Amino acid sequence: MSEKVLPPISVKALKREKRVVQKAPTRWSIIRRASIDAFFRMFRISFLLDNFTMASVLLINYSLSLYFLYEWMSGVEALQYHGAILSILWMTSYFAQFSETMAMGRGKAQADALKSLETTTTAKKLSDLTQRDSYEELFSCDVQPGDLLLVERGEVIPVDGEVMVGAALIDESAVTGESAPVIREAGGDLSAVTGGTTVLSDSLVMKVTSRAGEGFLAKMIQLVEGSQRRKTPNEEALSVLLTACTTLFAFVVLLFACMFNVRVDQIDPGKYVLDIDPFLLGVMFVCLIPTTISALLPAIGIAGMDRLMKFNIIAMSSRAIEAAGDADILMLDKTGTITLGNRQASEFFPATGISLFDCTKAAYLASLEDDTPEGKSIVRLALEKFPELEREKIAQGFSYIPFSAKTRMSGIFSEDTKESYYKGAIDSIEKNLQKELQDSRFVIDSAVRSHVEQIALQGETPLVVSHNGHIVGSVALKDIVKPGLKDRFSLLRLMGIQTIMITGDNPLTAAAIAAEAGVDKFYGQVTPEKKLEIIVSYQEKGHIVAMTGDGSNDAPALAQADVAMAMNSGTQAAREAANLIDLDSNPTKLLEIVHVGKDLLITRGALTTFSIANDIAKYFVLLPALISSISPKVALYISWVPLSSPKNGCLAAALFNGWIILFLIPLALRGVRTKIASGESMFRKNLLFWGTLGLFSPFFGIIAFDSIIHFFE
Amino acid sequence: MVHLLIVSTIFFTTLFVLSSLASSYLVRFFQEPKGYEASVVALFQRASGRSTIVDMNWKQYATALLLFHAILLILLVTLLFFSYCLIPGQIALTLSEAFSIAISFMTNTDWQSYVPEEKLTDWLQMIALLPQMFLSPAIGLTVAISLIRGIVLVNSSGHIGNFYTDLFRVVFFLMLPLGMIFGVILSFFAVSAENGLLAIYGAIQNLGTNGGGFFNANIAHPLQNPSPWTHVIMLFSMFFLPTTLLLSFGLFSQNRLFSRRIYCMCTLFFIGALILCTMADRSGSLGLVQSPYLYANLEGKELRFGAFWSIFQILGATATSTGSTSALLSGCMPVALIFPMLFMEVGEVIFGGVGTGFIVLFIFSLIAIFTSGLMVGRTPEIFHKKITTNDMYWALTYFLLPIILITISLSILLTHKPFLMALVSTPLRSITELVYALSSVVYGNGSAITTINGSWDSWNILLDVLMLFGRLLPMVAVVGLASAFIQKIKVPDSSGSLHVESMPSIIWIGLVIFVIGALSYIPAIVLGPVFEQLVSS
Repeated sequence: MSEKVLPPISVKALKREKRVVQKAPTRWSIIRRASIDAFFRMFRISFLLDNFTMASVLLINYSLSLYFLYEWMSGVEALQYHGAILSILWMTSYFAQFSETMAMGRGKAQADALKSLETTTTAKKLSDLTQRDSYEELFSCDVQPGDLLLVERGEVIPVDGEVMVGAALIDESAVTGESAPVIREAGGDLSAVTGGTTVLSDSLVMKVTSRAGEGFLAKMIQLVEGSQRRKTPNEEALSVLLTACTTLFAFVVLLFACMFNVRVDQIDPGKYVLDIDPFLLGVMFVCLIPTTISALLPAIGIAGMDRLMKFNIIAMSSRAIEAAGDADILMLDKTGTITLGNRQASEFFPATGISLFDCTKAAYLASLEDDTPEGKSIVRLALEKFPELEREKIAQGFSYIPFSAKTRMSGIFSEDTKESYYKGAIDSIEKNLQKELQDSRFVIDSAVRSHVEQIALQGETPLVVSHNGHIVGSVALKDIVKPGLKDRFSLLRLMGIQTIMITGDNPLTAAAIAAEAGVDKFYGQVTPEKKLEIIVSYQEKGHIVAMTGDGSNDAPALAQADVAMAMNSGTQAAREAANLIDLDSNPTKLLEIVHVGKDLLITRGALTTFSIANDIAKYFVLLPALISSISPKVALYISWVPLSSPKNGCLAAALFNGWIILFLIPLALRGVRTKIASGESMFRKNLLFWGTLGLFSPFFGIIAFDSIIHFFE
Repeated sequence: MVHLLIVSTIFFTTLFVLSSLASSYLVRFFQEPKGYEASVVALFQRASGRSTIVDMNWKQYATALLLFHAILLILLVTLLFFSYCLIPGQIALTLSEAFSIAISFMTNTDWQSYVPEEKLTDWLQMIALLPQMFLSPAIGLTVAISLIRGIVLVNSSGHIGNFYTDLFRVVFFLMLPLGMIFGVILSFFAVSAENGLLAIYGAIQNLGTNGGGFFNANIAHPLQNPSPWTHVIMLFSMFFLPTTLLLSFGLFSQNRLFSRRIYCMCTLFFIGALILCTMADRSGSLGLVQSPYLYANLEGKELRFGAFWSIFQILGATATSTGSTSALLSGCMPVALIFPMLFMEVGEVIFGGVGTGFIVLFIFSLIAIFTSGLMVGRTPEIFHKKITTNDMYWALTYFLLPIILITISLSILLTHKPFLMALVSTPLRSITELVYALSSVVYGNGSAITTINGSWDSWNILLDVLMLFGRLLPMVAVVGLASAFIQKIKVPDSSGSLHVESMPSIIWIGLVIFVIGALSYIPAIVLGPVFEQLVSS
């Protein structure tokens, strides 16, 4: 027994009851918080390291501030102008930080709500699976992986784990936001439970899989806060480009200053000192380096994760979202993704010499214990046809053999009488009969085969029913393809994405469903190992593969795929192998993820193009302003933008440079919305739009700011 | 202007046809040697003590490249420095002169701060400099070949071919025969029988985009360039190898459309610059405009061929990295100088130097596709290979190095008035002259505004360092890039991918070349030639 004195459980439970679910944060509260956070973030040292461009802006700000202080002490005339420039430059830095804190805002609010779940609770540790009465009470923080815990009705599950015994209704709304309770049960693919969720009914014994504070909830908090975000490969490459641009312009400005001095000397000999206004040089540098994209780059990445969160998908890394944009192979499971989850039995086909009743009865008995939707539908159909079957019961001594992905059959079997009722795919039944009859050459006769093929040709799934080593007939299971998928698949094809259907069904059924759903390719009779093989073979050809999965046996394939989405209802193994987790457990969302990934990349490209195109306009404004002090004649000749004065133009350019960051924050957060089209036409449209906007918007922006300045002058 | 358009259209059409024909020959160098070539290469292998061709990874390749240059430099300097003992009539060269000449010819720059007729005998020019003029473009081509292999082929080990074997093949099966052909053609126009050496010199000087002259007057010398025909042939040969390489890349990568469209883009750039430059040069200064005799600004032009061909030559020599001159740059209007300056400063990409032209073009395509290729909603890919961080490192190193070299040395020179006074003729022209000279040296061009004072020792040492770094460091980056590229698996083509050869991409690549070049040098151009023109008129 633990030596620690524990608070009475009832009080704890009471506190839990009273826990108020936090209200969704309002937009203004996010903005308020972001604006305060941004201010303090601006001075963090770590920030200097990961964003070279914005760090150099900050460096300029600091040095100009010092210079300003010096000027102030010594009383220089241009103090007002310099002060204005300095404040605009600081504002630019601030806006850059603001974009980031703003992007993190929603995540932060969500993380706070989650953190309240992460408080210490007590746990009941069992020493033995079977003895539920003798438990030891621990703090949840003392629980070790591998421990067995008992969680009863009304209690909070302390840490992540896997259900070992029992089934329970669990309220996961605190973590997933889904208000409908879910069932978690031992065995199968619904065994994972998450720390922080509440058991609503029944009780269960779970095996701990992670320490307190390291589980799914903790990971999720880190993710939504954005504190663990690492740069994605593309972001890194882009940072290299932006760093290079910044370096380039640092040298350009340096060169300009040197040449400027030479000209000053020629116009006004003897005055050979550094005569150029450092504030103007600072403005020139900050305006030319790609501040817009550099400031918004982190925000775009964070917002991508945030946008997925709106779809109730948790991205374990931002790399996954980027890969989703790149994915050109979508591997979709047939069941649940392409077809409406459950297949329904539609018809019984007795074998020759067997009556319809016998066939139905055998199928009925084989499915009576079967909890899968298919099994239940067979029972339902059998009762519909022959209501008298209700009286049939499974005799004593029979044990139920559940369906497994490996055997792909289920049924009942009696050790004593050697009686058996099986149903399953034709190949697996055949194999089983070979084993049962100890005759390796046994084959199912052609009449049954032709039935099966007929069923399969209609796109339905055939199951063969056997009784005591004889085939008694087959059952047709009907699949229903989700509406609207065909159109979406053809849009995906336009974007260069192939859809591939994966199913355990036989190829004939698969072909019929594939044709109906309009997928590009399909693989029938796929085992989990085969799935992995298919992924690897595509990746070797240079494809980027996205897939969904939930079962434990999907884990290797999920780990191999570039974009792997696991269902939250799935097993712990699957959730760990995946890089995206869908809290609603809806596999069709893979399509949304691809869109979000693409939007993210497009936003990045658009803002980069915009940012670089801006420079041309800025040169037109900045150069006259800088040159005007040495030769007004030359300055006049090259100032093609109508401005009140070159100095005002300089100020306006700096203002535009700063404010454009703020203006573009909503765009960075929301992402550029694009219509689905082929790569070529998307490139043409986006390039034309963002290139032109980048080229001309600064002219209008600067002129507008200039007239405002002129008005207040 | 109509005359200009017709002539340049004929010129570039002929160039295209002949380059297309030659490109199918050049393709062989990208692959393993076959037939008689294989047996010759095997002979070379045996002579060098290796039985098979050993492919190199990027470190080995870069080491081989640098080692080869180091040995070459030592040999060349020794030969030049002790030449007065070997060759009768040769005056002694100082060590600094020997280094200058050696480096400038080794790096394909051919910056000549000496008067060849005074300093070097015909014999020395023939045994020391002529081989260099064959070798240095061959090295450029070899490195470009390794890059093209990297782009087109897939090899997970990152091996990009054998430097020595490639160089051997390029020298013996391309540069030598081609030099001979052009030499023979030029010798038909020779004034006297003993001008065979001049013919081969003139041929390889332009064919290999070297530009170093046999005479101080370069190709303006009537013995070197006796007739308008030789002038046109020399112009033609400047463009010939760069365009052939571009077109053969199209053949090898099975993407002819890309090569052809890039060819058209470059041609349009060139003709556009030709028109603008001609107009700018005719604008004249205030004094000139008021003179009643103004038809064209003929100061410093080669009057035998006229103002048009002179400007064509000036632009051609800077668009490719040749730098040979038949007209005096210092005679041009300041604003007209913007165009040759910009041609160099975008990295000599309008066909460019032998090998280097294609390399720069690819680097620019990489940057262009990377910045906006994202806008198709995929991480960018070029020639079916994804662009990663590593590639950007190499590409941007290649792009930034020359600019950094130029800027740092310019800043030092400009901020020290004594340096400035020692170098330039007129203060007003100082910036233009210095920017031009340094760009010319770093980008391996070799042309100069001749009013710059080239006899100052420290200046020459600075130039030597710039030439060496400006040539070798970017080349190492190219080798790294080639190796990074050859390791990538090809992304399957789909309707979602962006094709480099599509019209929008080509236009975008063109814009990026122009904009990046312009953005980096606009301050220099405004404070240099533009300022000079406006203040003086």
